[in-house]
Amino acid sequence: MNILSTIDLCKTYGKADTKVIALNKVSISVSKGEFVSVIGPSGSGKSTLLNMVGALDQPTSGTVRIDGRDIHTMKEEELSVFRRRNIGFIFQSFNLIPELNVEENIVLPILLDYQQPDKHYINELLGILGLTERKHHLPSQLSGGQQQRVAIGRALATKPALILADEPTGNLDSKNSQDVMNLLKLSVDQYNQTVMMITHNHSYASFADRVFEVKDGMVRELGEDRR
Amino acid sequence: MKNYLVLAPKYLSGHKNRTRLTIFSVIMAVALVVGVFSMLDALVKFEKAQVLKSEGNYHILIRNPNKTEIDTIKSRIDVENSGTLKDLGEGKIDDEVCALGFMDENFAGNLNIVLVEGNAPINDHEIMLEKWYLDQLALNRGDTINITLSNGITNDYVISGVIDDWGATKAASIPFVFVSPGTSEGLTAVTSQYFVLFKEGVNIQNAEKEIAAILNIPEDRIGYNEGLLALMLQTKNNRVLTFYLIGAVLFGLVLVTGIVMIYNTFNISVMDRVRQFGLLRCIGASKKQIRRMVRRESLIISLLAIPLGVLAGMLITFVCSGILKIYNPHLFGDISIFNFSAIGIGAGVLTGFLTVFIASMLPAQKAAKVSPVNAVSGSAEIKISIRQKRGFLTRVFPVEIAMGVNSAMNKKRTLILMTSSIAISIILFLGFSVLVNPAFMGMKTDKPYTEDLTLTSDQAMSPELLKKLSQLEGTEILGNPTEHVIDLQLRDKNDEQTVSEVGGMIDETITLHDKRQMNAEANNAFMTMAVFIYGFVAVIAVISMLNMINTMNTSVMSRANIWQCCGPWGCQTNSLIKWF
Repeated sequence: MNILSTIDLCKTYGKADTKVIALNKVSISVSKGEFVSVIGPSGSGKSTLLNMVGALDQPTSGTVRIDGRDIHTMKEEELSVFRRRNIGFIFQSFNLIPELNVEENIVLPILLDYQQPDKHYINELLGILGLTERKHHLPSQLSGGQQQRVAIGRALATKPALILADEPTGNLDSKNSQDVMNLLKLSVDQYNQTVMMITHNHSYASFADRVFEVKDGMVRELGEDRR
Repeated sequence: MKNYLVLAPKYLSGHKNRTRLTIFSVIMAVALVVGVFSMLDALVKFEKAQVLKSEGNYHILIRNPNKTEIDTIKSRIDVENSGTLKDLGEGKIDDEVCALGFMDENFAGNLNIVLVEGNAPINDHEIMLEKWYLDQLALNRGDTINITLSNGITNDYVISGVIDDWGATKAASIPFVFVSPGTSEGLTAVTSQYFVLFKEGVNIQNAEKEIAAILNIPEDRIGYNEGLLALMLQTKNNRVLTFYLIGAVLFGLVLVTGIVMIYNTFNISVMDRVRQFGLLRCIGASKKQIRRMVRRESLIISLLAIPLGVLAGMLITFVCSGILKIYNPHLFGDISIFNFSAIGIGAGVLTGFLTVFIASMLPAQKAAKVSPVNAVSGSAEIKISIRQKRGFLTRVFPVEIAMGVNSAMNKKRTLILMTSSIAISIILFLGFSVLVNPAFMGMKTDKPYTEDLTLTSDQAMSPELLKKLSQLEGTEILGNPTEHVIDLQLRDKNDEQTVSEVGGMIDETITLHDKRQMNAEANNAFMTMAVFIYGFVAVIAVISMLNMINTMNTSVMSRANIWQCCGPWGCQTNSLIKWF
């Protein structure tokens, strides 16, 4: 079953002579429980793709379907609710709320949905992430690797349909990067999550089940021919 | 953590300095308004008490009314109480002159005729007298006294009641004798006044017009208790209205300054968190939820600041009343020091909520507009459209000035804010001193032609005296002296010798009035008012200064990164200063 599919997705910036085509007729699909990675040089349109898929930005044309729903036809309010329930984000710069401690950062998306967090599940997550001891610490008291693990916990908290990771290892050393990759893989294997990851690093890209390459706004699946 | 809104107090406690600054400005605004309104309220209450004491508690009076008029007015539904006071001419007690009068018993209290003992005269052989007179004659209630009435009939009367002293009659040493209704009927009244007190909430001007129209009473027969009506805001063109107007102006000023100041702080705090709001949007916060978060912050600030502001305002009122009382015992000796003014506190609380609410509305809107893309791109700027390049500026001006103009123009809102802050400060300084100038309010007495000494006489003063006075060193004759009044001004206010010389020139038919004390007190009152008003301007100025510093600071902070780029290009400090 396709959890994510894009059909003829286009995005252009500017008009006339300053027109830039960031995405050109992108059609991809990702099934549930898949781990896909997106690679490509700077300015190739990776981030634009992620913004489109995460419903952060409007496409010029084409559709994005997540869990069978066309996300760009939704109204602002509806989209917020959809995003909080179905999409989890992991950023390169962690983006934790500095005033909230580890546990609070993780349960925040659940609270935004006016739900009460499942204590058992949150404790389990903290255990997997190796943050049980640090759950009352503030982000500023944690290392980069630990902060990124909190961000992964936050993305997993609502058990979303799709997790989007934007260069999650970009700010980390190799040891911590390895940990983060293992956790992403674990979330796919253990919780049957679907993960789409943008990365520069080809060796981490190979962790994924499938690899897409973006070049000049065109997306192509690597190794597709071999299949 | 049970709710996402917990983020608001956590953010506030995480940024203590900023929170303190905001709370401080709200406290200042609230305290100022509470102070101003409480003081106004206290002054009005005080004035009202003074008026009731000196003029009596009535609204209008009808001179020489007839029976129909009295009956018609008395039966009106909007009349609370009414009564007649008659001047029945002069009588004699043991060859001593006394004033005869009659007052309706039910209205006596309203005119400060207070019965201290016994009861008002009912039978024709009963009378009521003042306490001081009875004390003087060593008489008591129940004793008999022989009085010759104005119609010449002499009789013995029983003292049925004793009333509290009347300042005027006591000073003149003429006792006032109140007679019974029956006796008053038998005498011709010199004047009679019918006093009317309307019920609360009645539009007195309308009621009075209606009465005049129905009963066809000419205007010159109607009198008003101006002081009281003024305090009730039932007249136009009076000092109390000016007081309230000043209150309203101050309220508006505080509100505007407060809003701009708090808006700035909120704005900065929102701009600093663009990325965080973007993130919150990413993880599923709706626009409404973001707005709610910012508003929750403002609510917390209000709840913390308002009680403190009210307390501070009450303290200000306390100190102000104290100052008034101590430095101006002549004018404000009877003012109460502890005031609990519901109007003042209400206005303060209202200001607090209003300023914070209005000030946080736009930033909350702005926060909600932050796109979730901000979290991904990591940019801390709300994307604004780049307007036309102002290339010509660099051609016309040196580059650093052009950049200054450019950066000010690019951030239109910042520009508007900064200009309005400066404008408000200027308006405050200029407008305030004109609008709320004590001299403008007619309080200042120290005109160049204020007389220090006045000579009055019932008989004509001789021209020789005038001549002698004009030759006297150290004084000057003011205006056009007449036979009855001569005004003198001293060159040196403390010149006691000249005063005694003037005293030596006059005989017993002439009275010397030394007005220096009174003038000094009036000036004192003026000074007190001036201190208050300019003190207020100073506080407002402090607020606007803080505001401006705040604005400039933000503007500098937000462009610090641009300057960091300029540094290596050889930008000097003085060129940076020119930037502004």
